Amino acid sequence: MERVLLVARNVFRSVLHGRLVYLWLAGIVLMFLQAVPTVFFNFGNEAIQTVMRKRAITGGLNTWSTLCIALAIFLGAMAVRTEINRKTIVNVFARPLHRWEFLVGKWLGIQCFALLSLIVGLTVSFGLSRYLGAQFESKVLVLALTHTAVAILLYSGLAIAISTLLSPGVAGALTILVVFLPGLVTILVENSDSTYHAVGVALNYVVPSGYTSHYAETIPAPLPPNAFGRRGFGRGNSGVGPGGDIPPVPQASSEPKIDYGAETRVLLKNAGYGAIFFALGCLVFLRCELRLS
Amino acid sequence: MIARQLEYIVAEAVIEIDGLTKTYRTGWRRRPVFAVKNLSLKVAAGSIVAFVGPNGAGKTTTISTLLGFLKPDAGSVRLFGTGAGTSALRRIGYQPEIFHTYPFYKATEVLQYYGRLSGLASSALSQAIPSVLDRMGLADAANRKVVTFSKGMNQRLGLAQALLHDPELLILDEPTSGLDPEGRRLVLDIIRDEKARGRTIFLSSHILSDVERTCDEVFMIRQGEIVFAEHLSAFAGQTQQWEIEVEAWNPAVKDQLEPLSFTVWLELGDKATLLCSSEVKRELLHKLTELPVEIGTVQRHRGATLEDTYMKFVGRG
Repeated sequence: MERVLLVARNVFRSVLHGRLVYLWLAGIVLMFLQAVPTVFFNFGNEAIQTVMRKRAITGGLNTWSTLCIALAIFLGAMAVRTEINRKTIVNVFARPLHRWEFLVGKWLGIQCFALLSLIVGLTVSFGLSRYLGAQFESKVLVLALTHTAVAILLYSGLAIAISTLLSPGVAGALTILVVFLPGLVTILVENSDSTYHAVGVALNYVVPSGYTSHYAETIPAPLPPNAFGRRGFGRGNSGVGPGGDIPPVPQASSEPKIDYGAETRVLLKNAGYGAIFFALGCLVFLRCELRLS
Repeated sequence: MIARQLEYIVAEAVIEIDGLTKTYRTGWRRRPVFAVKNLSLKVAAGSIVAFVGPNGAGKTTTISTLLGFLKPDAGSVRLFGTGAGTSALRRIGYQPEIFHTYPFYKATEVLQYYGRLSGLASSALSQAIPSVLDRMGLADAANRKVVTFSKGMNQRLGLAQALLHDPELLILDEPTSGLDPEGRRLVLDIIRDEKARGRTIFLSSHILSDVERTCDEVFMIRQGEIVFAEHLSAFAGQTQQWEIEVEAWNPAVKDQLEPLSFTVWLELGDKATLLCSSEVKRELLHKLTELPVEIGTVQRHRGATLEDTYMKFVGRG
């Protein structure tokens, strides 16, 4: 276990040396920029302004978590091949270190960094929420963060597994393809053509459920029924709809409807897929040769 | 073109390679190219063995197979009597030809990382690191980032990490390449010190003078095959044979000397150099004085140097 932690720590140092931390700064700036209009501009309607502020926070957190997943994919795709190309792997494998230990260390290091990045984003979001007077729904927030953490685990594991065989570019591209595959699988499964349907069903077994973002629900921000006045949005609303009146916008209830049982199953399934992909990567890496010249 | 395989009478062979064959596939047609072909050798415990050959001869492929980076297509590789696995790697120190490491580490941190991967405890490392850095002449650079190191310093750091866990077998790939004369001497002294401590050393090198100065045995490899293997004591030493220079040499003189056992080693115009044993020398000289020839220098014959042998078996000549 000590060797795994050593490799993980080395990954961490390597990421810091790669100045990826500057991404944090860029992300924080983006989050603030997203919140600036809601803080400094007056929409003339306090109810809408409150909703916009809340959505700025959750939107920022959503963007940040997506960046964390992208970072995990990027680091995973680079993990093994970069060491081989730079030949730094020679001095590591000339020591009594199992190849699986090396991969687990890499995986752990990448996850730690991605999760730390998530914590940084969360901290900034908490600060913003305090400043803007919004409050997170803790249960939904935990679910959303767990989804992100599992996605980091799944996609970094997959990227590492592919990078044991292929170049970082191909590993990253294939992993991103898998990120978007669940949508395609749904389309294929629902297709009336039997061939497409069969392909969809087959893919359904191979492709993980994918990442679901719940950040929008972490701060419930429904538009109040009279947010735009009785006659709707705009001055007088004269040109909208027959007779000028529009029906009130259907509002989400303040209590987000989330099936936690189903979400837990999805999370477990994704984590399982991540573990399987990673184990397959380890098996491939155990058998492959290290050709360095 | 195998000259001959050395037969060792050894109590323990640290490295045993038997019939190792390794091919790579290249090009669109994936044509097989032999990197190593039916290579066999044994390295006895406590000896310094050199693996000599031109670039692309298969030295690094052999070393990579020893370390388990590559798998043999045929034949076997055994270290300390077992296969190349983590148990064997515990007992090996390896210095690559170019020491590539992480640029964000300081020299001490590099050694800490590799030392701990080798299974050394922090307390042991805190003693071993200053000692090995001092031995390599890198004590002043202990807290410098390795990215600022010169090529020679980097090479010495590479040897430091190989020695750190006090391994029984050192595999050194071109240990003196890129070093200045002072650094080269330091490394050769360290190699000799390690031998004196009973360590086994397997090194590949292009620098034949280094091999002559440090090694016990040499294996010459060409196009993946061992073409020559010999103890270094056989080289460049004075043999039991004698050289006799003769002027006014001609076939008639040769015919008259025919009953005696000698060989014409060199013949240039009317000059010849004869080779004979100590027993025949006196009789041959006596006979020559009776013939119409001039006798020139008479001296002990020096055997072929390592370089001569290299050029004969490995070089293009």
